[in-house]
Amino acid sequence: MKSKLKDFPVNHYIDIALLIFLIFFPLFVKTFRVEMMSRYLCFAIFALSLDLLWGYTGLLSLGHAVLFGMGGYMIGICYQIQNGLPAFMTREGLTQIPWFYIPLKNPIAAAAIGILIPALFAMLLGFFMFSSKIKGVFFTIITLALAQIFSEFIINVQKYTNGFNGLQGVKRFAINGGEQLGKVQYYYIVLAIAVLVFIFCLWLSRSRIGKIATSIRENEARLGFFGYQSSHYKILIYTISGALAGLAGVLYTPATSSITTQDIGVAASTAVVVWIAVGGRGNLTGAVFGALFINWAQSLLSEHFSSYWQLILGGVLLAIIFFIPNGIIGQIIELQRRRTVEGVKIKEQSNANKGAGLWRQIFSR
Amino acid sequence: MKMKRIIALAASMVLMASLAGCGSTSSASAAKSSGSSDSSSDGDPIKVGVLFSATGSTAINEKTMTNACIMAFDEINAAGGINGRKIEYIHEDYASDPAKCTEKIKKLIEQDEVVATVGCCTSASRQATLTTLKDDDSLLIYPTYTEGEEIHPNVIYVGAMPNQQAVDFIPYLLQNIGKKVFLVGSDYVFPKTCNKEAKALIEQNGGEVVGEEYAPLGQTDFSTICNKIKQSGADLVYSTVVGESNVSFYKDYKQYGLNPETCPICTISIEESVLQAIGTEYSEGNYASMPYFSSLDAPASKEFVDKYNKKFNDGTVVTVLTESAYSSCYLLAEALKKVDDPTDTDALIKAFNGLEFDAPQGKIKVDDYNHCTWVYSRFAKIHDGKFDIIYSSDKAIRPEPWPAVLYPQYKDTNFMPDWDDPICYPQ
Repeated sequence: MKSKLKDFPVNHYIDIALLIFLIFFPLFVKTFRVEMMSRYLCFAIFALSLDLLWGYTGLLSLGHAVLFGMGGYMIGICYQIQNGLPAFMTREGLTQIPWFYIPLKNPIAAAAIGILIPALFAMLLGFFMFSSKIKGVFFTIITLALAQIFSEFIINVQKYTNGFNGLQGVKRFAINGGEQLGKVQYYYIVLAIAVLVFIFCLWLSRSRIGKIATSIRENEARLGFFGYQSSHYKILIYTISGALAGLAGVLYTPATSSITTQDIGVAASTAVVVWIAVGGRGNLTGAVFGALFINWAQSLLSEHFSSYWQLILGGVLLAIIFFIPNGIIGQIIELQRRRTVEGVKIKEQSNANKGAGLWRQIFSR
Repeated sequence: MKMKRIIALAASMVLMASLAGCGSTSSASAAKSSGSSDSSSDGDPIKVGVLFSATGSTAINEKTMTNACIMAFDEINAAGGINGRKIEYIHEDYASDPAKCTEKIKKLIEQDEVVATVGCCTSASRQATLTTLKDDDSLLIYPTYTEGEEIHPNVIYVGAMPNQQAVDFIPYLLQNIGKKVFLVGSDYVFPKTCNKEAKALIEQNGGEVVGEEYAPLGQTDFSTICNKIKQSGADLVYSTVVGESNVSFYKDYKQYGLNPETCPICTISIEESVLQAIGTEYSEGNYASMPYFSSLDAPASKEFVDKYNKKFNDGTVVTVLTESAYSSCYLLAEALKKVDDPTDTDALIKAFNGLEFDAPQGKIKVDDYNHCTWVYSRFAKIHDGKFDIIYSSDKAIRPEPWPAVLYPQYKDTNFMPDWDDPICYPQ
């Protein structure tokens, strides 16, 4: 039992600490901070979805916000068409709600579609890309182009999407014109879903599929020699990742009550990559931590240094990526691993030295 | 081994606690100040939000708006404040991002407990605040000229409505330049809504629309559109291209052989800052319509521009947006003087109805009913990189959020539908 506890990876202690912190968070702060945290939790789910793809499978997508946006827009449209034809459609000369929007009228159906469509889209895209052996930087470039195309597309079909202004007035899952969920209530729902997503990702990463995904990252050719069809697994991971990104979008739009093209384009896609890079990729905790940490840092810095906050944040991010390329959580895990190896080598060392050693290692790098 | 885990755990807790700490300390201070404002003692400052981007794509314009607010509130405080109470303004930067704008307006209202906010520069950012304004029952004073067809009960619109920029401008153009008009705009709600009214006005005044083209937002290649203008035989181009695209548009226009002397670009969407970016060579001879130009030769305007340039030496120039933000602050101060309790939003909104202010552009007035503002109509011919004003209306023009030329049904109801009509604002 004791040795099991010893093997318990350090990042799970951080997971548990984070979870406890998030559960009690609403008790200590104003409602609007809780609301902010629910947004950031959606970002955390979004980051998890990309971590599966990038951290585990080694496929860097610079267009992941497209899948996020697809989910978000479904809910956005759902609440636009609740009271008949919205003003932006009337302005563009539509006289009735387009037929393909009718299934979105029910928020629950819209949420389901908002998860399904990005999943299908990812599957289709994955099918074309992976079965024609597009990989590495070419995959990244295609997804980058996709992000640009998608946000341009949303801007230009304003008849259906309200273009650059985006969709406003999204309710927190008010069903059949009823009351919407309370802000704190919604926070706990998002938190519960985030925890489930985290556990699912953890399970997936340890399952056979997850191990094959890791092998794809490490050496795809060798995996092929073993007789695995790596493209099938890549499509599967991309599809799952798409569904989770869509889910994040579905939860995000009600949390901010609006979605615009700024949430779905290249900038949003690169932001999530940065969160994961700072938190550490390929260990799930890093994605969650990075998303929460950077978003909070952004908000608090911008409140206190209104003109220079982006400069400060940029500097900090650069420093983190430059000095600890594994990311914050990645580095902590790496240190534990190294210490375990060292611990085997040099068994007799005073406890005090060990304790100080961690910090020495952090600061000496 | 154990030690290390404890340290790792502690480190993560410390990090989280410090993050939460920032949040909770500031909320604690806000709670304290709200506690004392309940007793409404005279000395307490009245908190007002200023919500403009300091970073991002619209930062150039929004910086001058922030400056204008700082200048106005400093002046108001120096003159004794609001019934003996000073104004304390809190600036938030939303980085030209509507989602951030929602977050920041919530922060201002719920944490800082401001009584009202002066802010937002684009329709997208304004619309991103509407749900919060309604839920939290707060007030936004929106200074930018806008496309209309939206009136929110919690917003006062100080910028021009499309009719105020077009009703004098278009007849003048048709009489003095030519009857064949080519409409060019960015593919965006502002140009499309404005052009709808422009088309009706052109037809009403005996003109003819010979073409209508929209370029995607941020477009930098106008060659196709310039060729189409050439082929159409237009006498003038009526432009609602917004933002930085204008720089490419004016440049391409001349480079593709179109001559402002025979076919000028007549715009309702460029300010001094964009004019500077376009440059003297390409802007020469074109027309623009705005409620205010910084070249306005009136004592109030000159004084305003001098004050601004003396106070801020950061490369920003006075534009219609600066003037409008400045007036917005003064209108807010006047409204605050009229109410007993500044935190009573309903009373504050009512206090705006019919409120007048001697702005740098002249005497402006908030409409008695529809929350829009009576502003002047002016147009200018661009010469030597400056707006040479060729026409000024003798008094402020009535705002028509739903212009009468398109919506005769609202003519008798202050040019707007009922407040509870769903088309009144996006909900």
